[in-house]
Amino acid sequence: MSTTAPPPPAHDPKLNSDQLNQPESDHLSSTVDLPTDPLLDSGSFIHATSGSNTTTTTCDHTPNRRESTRAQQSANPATSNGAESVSAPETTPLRRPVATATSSETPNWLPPGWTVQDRVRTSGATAGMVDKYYYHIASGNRFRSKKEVLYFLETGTKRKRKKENSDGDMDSLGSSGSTKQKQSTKGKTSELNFDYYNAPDSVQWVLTDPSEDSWSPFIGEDKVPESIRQEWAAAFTHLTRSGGGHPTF
Amino acid sequence: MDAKNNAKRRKLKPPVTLTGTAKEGCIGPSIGLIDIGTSVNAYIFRVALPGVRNNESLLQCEIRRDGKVQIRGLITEGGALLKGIPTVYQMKVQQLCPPGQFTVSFTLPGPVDARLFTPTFRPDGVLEGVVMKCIYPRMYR
Repeated sequence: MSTTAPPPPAHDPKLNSDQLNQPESDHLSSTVDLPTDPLLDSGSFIHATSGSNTTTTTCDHTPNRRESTRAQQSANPATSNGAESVSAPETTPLRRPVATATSSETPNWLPPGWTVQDRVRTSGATAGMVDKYYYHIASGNRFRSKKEVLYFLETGTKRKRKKENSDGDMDSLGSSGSTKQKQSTKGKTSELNFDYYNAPDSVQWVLTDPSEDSWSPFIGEDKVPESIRQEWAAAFTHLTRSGGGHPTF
Repeated sequence: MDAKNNAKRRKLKPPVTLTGTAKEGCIGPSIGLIDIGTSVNAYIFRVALPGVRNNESLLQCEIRRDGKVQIRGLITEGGALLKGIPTVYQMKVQQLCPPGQFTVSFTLPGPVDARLFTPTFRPDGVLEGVVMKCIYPRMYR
């Protein structure tokens, strides 16, 4: 942690100077929408690492650079500043050895066979924030939240991520939320064979096992098969868990 | 506000019909006291069934699509108790429901899907059930 902390402040003054210069020139030359500024900021950061002279000279040619960065932006339009800063540590493997920091002690809910790393973000607007990463040693999978780990432990599969069109700042939260939605829709598809339309006229529920409080449904004289009964139960829990709206078809 | 709530509550209270022994034991903690709650897509009802023994009550609960609920069961003889003394106490039932068959019928405020029902007969003698409302009452009408 302490080794990686110094570099960003070293860059920051130059960044700020660039930031100060470029937006002004932008506003002078033409009215530019605000989101381009953060992109410029990150672009100038890359140049600043190679040498400070280039940045000062290129300040004069800001229109050209803006076009180039705009071209980059059009190439991948979905990345906002926040998304870049968040996704940068994981998409660029080169930075990983630099960014890896102290492997903190494993929390007690984590089973053996896992390691935890605290990594500090080195760039972007959220530089200095610490992210926890969980590594499953056997499979080599990496997870970014406790939620993902628990999901993996439960199902043995990684949660699928949505394509990066969500807000960058909401990255971890948003992805988990979207996957949750996906799960619920998955659940719905599995319950699609529940016929919501044709409810029977009458169902008789009989307390069959009082000690376990288990009830068996009967339609007429016939006992409802266990499989169908479970379908009903699944539909019931689905309806109650979705917290309100009936499924809309 | 309170008057409104009371009116609402009164609206929710359906007429209850008791037959059999449930009809006779009306002084004490009576059988068949019910409460009904509603949510956006479900009803919950609680029926007091004191004296209904879990294991021999043959409790059954019929849910009809139009919201009619009928609970049937058996109140068993609870009079004979042996408490360490070789004496059998004969209970003269005056306040509690006498043993026998009973039914409790009432109607929920709206049509329900009888398949989506989760009953719980709690150990304190209260039968609690959650029924989902019928999703397509138009289809039913």
